[in-house]
Amino acid sequence: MTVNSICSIVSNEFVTKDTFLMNIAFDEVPQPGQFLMLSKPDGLMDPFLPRPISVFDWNDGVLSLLIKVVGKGTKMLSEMRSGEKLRITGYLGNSFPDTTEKLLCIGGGIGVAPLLYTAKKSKAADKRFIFGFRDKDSILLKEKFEKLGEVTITTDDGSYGLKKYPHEVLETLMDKGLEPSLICTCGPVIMMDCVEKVFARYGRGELYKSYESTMGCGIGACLGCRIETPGGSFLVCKEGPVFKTNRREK
Amino acid sequence: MDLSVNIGKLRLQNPVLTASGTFGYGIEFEKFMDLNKIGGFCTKGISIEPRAGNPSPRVVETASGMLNSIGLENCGSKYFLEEIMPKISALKCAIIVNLYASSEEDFVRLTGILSKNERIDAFEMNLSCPNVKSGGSAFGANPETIQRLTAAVKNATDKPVIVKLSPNVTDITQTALAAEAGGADAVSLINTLIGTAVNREKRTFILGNKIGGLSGPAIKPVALRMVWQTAKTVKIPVIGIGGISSFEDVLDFLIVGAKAVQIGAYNFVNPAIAGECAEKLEEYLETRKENINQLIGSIKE
Repeated sequence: MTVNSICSIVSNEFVTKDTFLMNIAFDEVPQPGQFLMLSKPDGLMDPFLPRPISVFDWNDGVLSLLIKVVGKGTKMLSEMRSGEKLRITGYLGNSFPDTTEKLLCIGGGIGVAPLLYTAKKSKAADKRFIFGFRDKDSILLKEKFEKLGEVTITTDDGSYGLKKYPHEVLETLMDKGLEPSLICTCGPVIMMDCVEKVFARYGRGELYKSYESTMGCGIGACLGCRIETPGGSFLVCKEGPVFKTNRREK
Repeated sequence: MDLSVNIGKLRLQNPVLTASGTFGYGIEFEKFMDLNKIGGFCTKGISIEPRAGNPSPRVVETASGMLNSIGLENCGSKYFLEEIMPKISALKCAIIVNLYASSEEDFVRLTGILSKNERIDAFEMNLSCPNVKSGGSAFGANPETIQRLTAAVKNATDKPVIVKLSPNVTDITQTALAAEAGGADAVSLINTLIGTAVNREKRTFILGNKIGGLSGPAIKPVALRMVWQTAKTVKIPVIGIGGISSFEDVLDFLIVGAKAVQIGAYNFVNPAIAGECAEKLEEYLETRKENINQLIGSIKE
């Protein structure tokens, strides 16, 4: 359901040097891939706008968010402590679909965040992850994903796992005959574009990409989050954040 | 308690409205508040034909506010009348349609098209959008143009006409007087202040359109001053807009003489803010045993 309510932080801790895991008491059950708007209801007006954050996990009334500090809004959120209040407007946006066969989740950096809950909720018989990070110290909560399926890690500098990009791993796996029935990807646009190009060559299964954008409202009112993608122009909050690609080369 | 105010022949059940461009077509907010609690809302600016708007990025946060350069993206008058109006027609609050056109001829045509819909309560003429190349604030800086366009739209409809004024002028009371002379039933102010923001690493403008309109609490003192000056100058009602983010802000605008207010950018932060402000206004007046008309313009000079 979509609500607009003031909630309490249960815990808030850094898991890497720039990314933190915030737990909030919140009863509403999300759909995989959905997001919410988060702001501090303290009457102070700076930062002014709420921040769009995707669902990382939800367990028994506790919502988990994995957030990277990128600016003053996320820095403010990182400094909040248990017991402090936040306004949540959500859940918002559409969601990833599901498959009963082979699910492949491809994430880059903080883009892995919406993929945990997506994989956890999935009824897929086989779940697999390909994640790309900048370096060894940037790897995010690998053990949580390993409980759900095989995780392949790549790093840009080769300090952990394979020194490759996620789409190169995808290409190798597809060359070996891997046939995912559903690919869910989230991360830098360039990574998702590369994944899409590999996917288009193989032309099996379905590919869904989750986009982010600077947002004003998150609910389709301000029209601020429009993006241009290979598949057209979209309002991320209202028509997304998950978009299906129909690109095929054969 | 009676909180109603009159804007020309338009009777609002209370003076809390929401501002065009921050409230979609109303539908977007129905899951967050009972729209029947507020006085009414102004729709996203409607043009005759649909408009795609400006390139991204279109919003950027600034100190206690935001810049936007949406560029009047909207569904067009046909879709609005056929698809949107049926979904909001049962509401009891006022539906004020914001009009955008780039010529007098198109303003008259658009007004004619929309006037056929009986559920639309009033029009708000957008003579102040900073994000479009023609029309918008290009019209809004010139008193003679404002008077002419206002008279033309008034002549094309029986519905009340509100003229939304730009703060990007030397003296807003002159543009307000021009709207009044053109026959406007009310003026609403202020639209956004023109600004920009720079990405200093890339040495580029952050907004795709380079410039945008500043809104949010950062502009409230400017808006409050302009509303006060305008309310003293014109005889028609003034609707106060600019950075309203709390019930206390609503009070400030009413005290300096606004007959109604519009909440703008803060709808993005708390989509239920307008309903909350209307409720608190009623509590406030009940507690003080004060009439809404005693509050309006009660500033001691």
